[in-house]
Amino acid sequence: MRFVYKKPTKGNMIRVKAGLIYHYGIYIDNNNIIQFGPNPLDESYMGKEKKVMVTDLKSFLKDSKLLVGIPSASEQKKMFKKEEVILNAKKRIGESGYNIIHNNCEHFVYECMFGYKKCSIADLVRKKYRNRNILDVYIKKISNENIKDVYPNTRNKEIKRIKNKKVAQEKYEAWELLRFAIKRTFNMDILDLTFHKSKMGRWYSNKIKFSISHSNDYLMVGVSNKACGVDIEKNKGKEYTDKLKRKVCLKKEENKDFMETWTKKESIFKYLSDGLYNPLKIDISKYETYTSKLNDYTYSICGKLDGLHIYLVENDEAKRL
Amino acid sequence: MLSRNEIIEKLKDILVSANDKPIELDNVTEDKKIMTDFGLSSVGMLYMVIAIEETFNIEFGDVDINTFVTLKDVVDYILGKL
Repeated sequence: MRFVYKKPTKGNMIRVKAGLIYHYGIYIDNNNIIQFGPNPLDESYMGKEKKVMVTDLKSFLKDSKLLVGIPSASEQKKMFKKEEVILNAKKRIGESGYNIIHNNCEHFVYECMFGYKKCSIADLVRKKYRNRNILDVYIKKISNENIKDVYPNTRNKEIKRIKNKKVAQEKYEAWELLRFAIKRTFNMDILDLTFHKSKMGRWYSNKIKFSISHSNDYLMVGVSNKACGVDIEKNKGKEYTDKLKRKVCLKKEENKDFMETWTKKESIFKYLSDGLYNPLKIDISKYETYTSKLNDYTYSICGKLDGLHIYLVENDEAKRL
Repeated sequence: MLSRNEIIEKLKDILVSANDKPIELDNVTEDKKIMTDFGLSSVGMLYMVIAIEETFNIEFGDVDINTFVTLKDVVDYILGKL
């Protein structure tokens, strides 16, 4: 359906701009327009129950310009005859049950005209929401809870094979934090995902992207709908040797905070998930990263930062940092 | 099940995305009025409602969203649906 400025005729779908959205109605004549609820710019719109009602052109337009719907060739074949459209609209006068996303004025006119509901703005907004960048990062202190079975079974067996109890504990709790993150961010159960391990030893999932890091007392998990990388490191509290800095930092990075540089590079490497780690091949300035500190730890995140939210998890509750 | 605080945290994220103007997250409290205190546009309101449905896996099928005045009204409704 396209909309043009022209004089309406009986049975036309009409609309008018109301702020950033459109208000719709079925035109019969200048004194009889059937609409579901008043124009959103009308004082009576807010807080009151909206019904299918008759109004006049002046009240419908609220000083804006009228647009008339011109159905496409395929829509014309599906459209009811004008008399039927008007009858469908008149039959519903007095009806309530207005809902901004499931039963609004646009849904109403499409039902009268075609027998089905449609709302272009709601579809657009829903598409925008589903395509947004998601990057949720969860940080938690290791709590030394008892190691139980994890999913998938291959990961479970890996953790159970680790002889070093501290390392096994870290990996178990990190995977549990991943399970928590998947549920909280995507409202999915980890059992709904499949996991596989690459030749380089990195775990991947079919439905989401994730990255895990642990250091001493803290775990960090990032979950996203796009590639992401996270890294957390305990600050060593001593000067780093020039020799070490030369192994990690490019010339232009040597004067920067070493732990920031280190965690940024690790997070970028995980974001790229490409080959063997060589910090001298990673130029921090070419990537978008976020770095901050928590107690005596430094952490960095690489990914779509416009969707970034960071949480501290305590007692199974995630609080925004 | 999500706690009341967690629901509010998620709503804060949604309000930030729904709003064209920046909002102070510390000012997002349950007594705040959705339309007047956060200055949501009509599209912003639509985005907020759709985001709530998708985030909490619920449907606002049986209620006119315009009857929600404060954030508390929204939180109570979500808790009732979970």
